[in-house]
Amino acid sequence: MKKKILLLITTMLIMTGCADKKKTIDGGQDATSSGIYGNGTEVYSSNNGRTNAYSYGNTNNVDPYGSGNYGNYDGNGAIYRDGTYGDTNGAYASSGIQKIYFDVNQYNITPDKMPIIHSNANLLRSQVNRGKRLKIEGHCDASGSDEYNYALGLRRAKSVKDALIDKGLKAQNMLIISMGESSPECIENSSASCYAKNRRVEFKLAH
Amino acid sequence: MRTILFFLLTLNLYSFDAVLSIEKDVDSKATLSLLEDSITAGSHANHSKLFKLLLTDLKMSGHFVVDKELRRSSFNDSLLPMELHDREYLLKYSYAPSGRTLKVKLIRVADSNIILQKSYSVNVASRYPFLSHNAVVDINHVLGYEDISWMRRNILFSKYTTSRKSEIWIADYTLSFSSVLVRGGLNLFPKWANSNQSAFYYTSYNGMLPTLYRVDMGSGKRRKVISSQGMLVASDVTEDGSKILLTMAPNGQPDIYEYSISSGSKKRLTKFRGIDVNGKYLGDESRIAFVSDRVGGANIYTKSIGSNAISRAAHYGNDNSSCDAWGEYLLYSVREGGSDNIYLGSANSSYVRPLTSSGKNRLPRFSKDGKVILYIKKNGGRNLIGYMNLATKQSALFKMQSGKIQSIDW
Repeated sequence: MKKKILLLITTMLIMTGCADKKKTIDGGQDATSSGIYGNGTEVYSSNNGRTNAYSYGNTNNVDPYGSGNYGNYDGNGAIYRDGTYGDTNGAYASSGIQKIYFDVNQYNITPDKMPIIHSNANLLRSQVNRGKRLKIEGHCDASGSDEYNYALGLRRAKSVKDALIDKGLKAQNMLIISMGESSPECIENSSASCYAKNRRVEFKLAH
Repeated sequence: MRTILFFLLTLNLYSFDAVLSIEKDVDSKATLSLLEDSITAGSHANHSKLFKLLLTDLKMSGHFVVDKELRRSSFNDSLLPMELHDREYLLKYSYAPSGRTLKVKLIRVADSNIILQKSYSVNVASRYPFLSHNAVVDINHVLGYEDISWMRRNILFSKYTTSRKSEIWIADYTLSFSSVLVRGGLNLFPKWANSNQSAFYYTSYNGMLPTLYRVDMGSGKRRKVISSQGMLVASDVTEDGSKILLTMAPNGQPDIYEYSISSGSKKRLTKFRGIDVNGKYLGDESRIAFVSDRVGGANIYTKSIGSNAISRAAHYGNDNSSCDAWGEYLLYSVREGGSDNIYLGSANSSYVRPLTSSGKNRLPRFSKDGKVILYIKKNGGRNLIGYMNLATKQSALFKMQSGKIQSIDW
């Protein structure tokens, strides 16, 4: 089977080698052209097998789920209902703590961010070093893809944590986490100014 | 003489609208009409939706010219309507009043022979789309056409609902059936745990640490797999389900790890001070493709497991932040200008072809057999799930009713 598929794809690639690069098959206008996979006629050869007699017996259950104690799929069948992240895991840090904002795709602490790092470090140092846990959350705008966005948020949080360590905060009392694009500060639109508010690091002190 | 047929349809299938563009040599397609059983017709609320689903499935197969008119006759009557004698095939079907059973009978008009007769059932009426999907898969099979089993896969996706909240849903490929599986808090990155879709992984953000769970679809039991500071994603699973490629950050550094289900051991596969994510097995699973920002912008790279040598795999674009792999083939989304487009590439050559040309197209996923590509199209504030059939060039878009897709698998 795998050989057959590879042959199929190889055939398609050969067929389309000379096609216009901009022809696509995403359902847009370009789809009316001959397309990047040729005209498709070679993919399925003739009408082979149409005359095969073929018959089945009793009713076939084609539903692997939905039986037994589990699997109420009628609309209210969530398996698990968890608490909301952030409700019980920390409160926003005390007043004066500032969020730190980042440029598109950036996660390094640039010189313009150092005054905020310095100010936040001064406000948080005594509490963190006495044992309170500081959660540093990295956030992103919605322009990236799923995994990469969460990694970007994490790197932002890690950069801030490293900078706070340099300012004398104890590493073991700081926890970093990426929230990706799940908690935007601005939800009005997808403008550049709105997205800029979402590329940020926030701080929470655990109870 | 070959005639290229192109037509655009807008289907109203209750919970979604579908746009199909169909382009194939008409001479290679079989003409087919549907005949609903006049005795059971209209006995269940889903009757008209089932008819439209059968039309959609037959068209998405790429092998039929289908009559869009809904006709009725006795399911057991052996006489064929005179006006349909120019068709190659008739598909008689009887949808039971329970909404859970479908009987089909495929008849070759030329000699009135029944070439497929089969009955299908689902456990709950809401999963009725799988009656149609399975019937059309079998019809294709009995006529000797290329396999379209991708049609009966269950789609698994997470979608954001409000700030810091997301749900995990299961659906059929048309979204005619959908149901929530995990609700409450932030639940991300669902991934089927094996090829028969009997279990799935997802990441819960509802404790102090992101935690990966495995949920068994049969028993509903959930068990913790592993936790990590920062982030945690099950990016890919081996064909036999024994290993997972994880993106995790135990020290705050996002890297790719290979996790063994049986032993619980993990092996770090990438070591870079920036971002390494989105690991996907290639070929015989001794190599991986992944996304990294090691030379600036996000791009796609490959490496062998156990080797430090890394090669760039995407030969187009400088901002390619997600990928999927099937065999030696790659799918990746490229940000270019104001658009995100999907490209097909190869891990072994500089081959690259664009699959979309405009708009916001993300999260491309190969089907299990590599023939069909699922992706997310963002249209204004709305998400659509799109499909591109590489073999037949069929494409379709199905609108989501609400929510923004976070991650998807099928």
